[in-house]
Amino acid sequence: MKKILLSLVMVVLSATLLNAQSCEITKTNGGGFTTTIQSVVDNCNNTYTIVLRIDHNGCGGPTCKELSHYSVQATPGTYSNISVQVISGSMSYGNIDLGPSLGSDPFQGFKIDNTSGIGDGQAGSFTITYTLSGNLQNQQTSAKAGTSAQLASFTSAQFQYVMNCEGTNCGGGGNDTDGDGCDDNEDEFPTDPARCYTIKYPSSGFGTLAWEDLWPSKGDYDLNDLVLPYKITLVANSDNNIVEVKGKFYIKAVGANLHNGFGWQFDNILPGQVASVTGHSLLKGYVNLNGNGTEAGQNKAVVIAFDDADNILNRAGGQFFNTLPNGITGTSDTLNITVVFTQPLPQATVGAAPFNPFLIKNGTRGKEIHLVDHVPTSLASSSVFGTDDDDSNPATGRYYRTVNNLPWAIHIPQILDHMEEYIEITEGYLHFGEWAESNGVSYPDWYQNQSGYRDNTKIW
Amino acid sequence: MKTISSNLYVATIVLVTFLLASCQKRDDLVEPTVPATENKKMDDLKVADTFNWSTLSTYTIQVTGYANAPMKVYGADGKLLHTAMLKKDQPVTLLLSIPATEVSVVLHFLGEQTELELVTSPIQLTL
Repeated sequence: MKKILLSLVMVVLSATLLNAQSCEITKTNGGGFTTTIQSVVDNCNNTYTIVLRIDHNGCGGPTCKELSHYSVQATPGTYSNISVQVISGSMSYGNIDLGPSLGSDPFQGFKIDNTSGIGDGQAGSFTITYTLSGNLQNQQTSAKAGTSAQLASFTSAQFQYVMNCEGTNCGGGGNDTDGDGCDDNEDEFPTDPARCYTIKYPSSGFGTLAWEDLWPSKGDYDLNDLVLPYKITLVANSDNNIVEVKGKFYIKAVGANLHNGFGWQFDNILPGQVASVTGHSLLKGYVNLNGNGTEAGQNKAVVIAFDDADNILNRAGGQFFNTLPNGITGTSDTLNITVVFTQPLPQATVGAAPFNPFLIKNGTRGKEIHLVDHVPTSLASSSVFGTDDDDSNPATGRYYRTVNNLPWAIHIPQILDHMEEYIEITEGYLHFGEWAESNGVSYPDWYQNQSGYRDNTKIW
Repeated sequence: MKTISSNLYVATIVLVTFLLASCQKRDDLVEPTVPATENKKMDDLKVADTFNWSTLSTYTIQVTGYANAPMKVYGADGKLLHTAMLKKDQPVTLLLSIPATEVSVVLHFLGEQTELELVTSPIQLTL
């Protein structure tokens, strides 16, 4: 495994070269030599015919010595029918050593021995054709010149790729039932040409959004006024563009008297770029929709998932839910929201999930509470910024912070074990404060359930 | 003498009661899982105005592959984080939003694995 450190500049990770021809894969041996998988043919009798092409670029000098032998790694007993063909230049060889021991080479296989006429200023090209039985293998090659082994490595997947690409497997190519360019082995939607694979946020389980809902006034910082686990799935086509977004949400806790809604904005998508929104729960009448299900009156595409948490809660009474000891408990329905785009969009345009989420405070559409420095939607009332404890400054892109830079919402990549009512999050999560004061450097995993991280007596 | 004896009697009663009370099991007392610590109140935190309060980091990664084949991005724990269908010689941009605790990922492409340290964004690379 290669290990690299990347900066802003482009970094070439391996000695892999780019080819003019579509299906070949070329690796650099060194000393001016390269090896290319030119073709792989499945003979449909449990054998493969493989052609490697070895090229030398004509360089000379102490780092470009003449080829003395060329070796190919292969499992003993699996290779046969080895032949060599000179394509250009004056390469010649003495014999084909069938191994399997190859002397100084660090692998078993066969070698074209006692070569000359290629390397050390002599450009040239030749091919090696051989038959492999059983499965395709990871194979190294060695272009031995001087004392240098000059290795290049190929994986079985790379041989397989060349074969599928050329359509020389027994099926006449890779299996692609829907013809979308996404092989059935990779296609999560093998009969849907518009869809190929999914990207999940978080990669497993649920993430959580959690709010204080008294904005623009500070609350009690238990950050449990709305605790909303989410799972976002992006569905991409074979061109890596996003076809649709699926969101799964449920309510884990409501530490509030207010009837709050929830939605999100795609900051780089216009309402007209959305074909449809389905699955939301809008029962209170204050959210107006366009025909495609996005919220009307917005400059960007906005999806309102629910206009009142009560829409999906099953609890006795209308206040608090899963936050008070011996208080009201219950269950939440799960909302499954699907947003389909009119045209597939680059992932950079769709943005990183959960996008720009916000709480709608107590049915007052103009009062939105976002994560820090996330822009409000067109329907947010700008007159609230800078009032009470809010220290937003829209001119500088500063939003939803107190003068001490405290937030009204947080986001973590797993289920949040939320605080009991009226207890500040710093009391339950013992490194939350250190995380914040260190600018996120210390304890970036403050939310995890590790020894010394929590006071569980204060967590619901 | 009667006074002394009476005082001794009262003191003994108080002492025994105290000892019994001290030994009584408190079923309703839950031991904290960690020793109590002095945690700052939120209002006392000194937070930089550049702090984004995010537990995730987002990286823009532009990858150019040498073949048309899927590339998969795995976290250090082996979880699949992202997939991209690379096109030969064509850059593909992916947005990787992962926990800030992740400092590197592993790219799987045509049977080869490459560890990518996440130092900055955007990142450009050629496979």
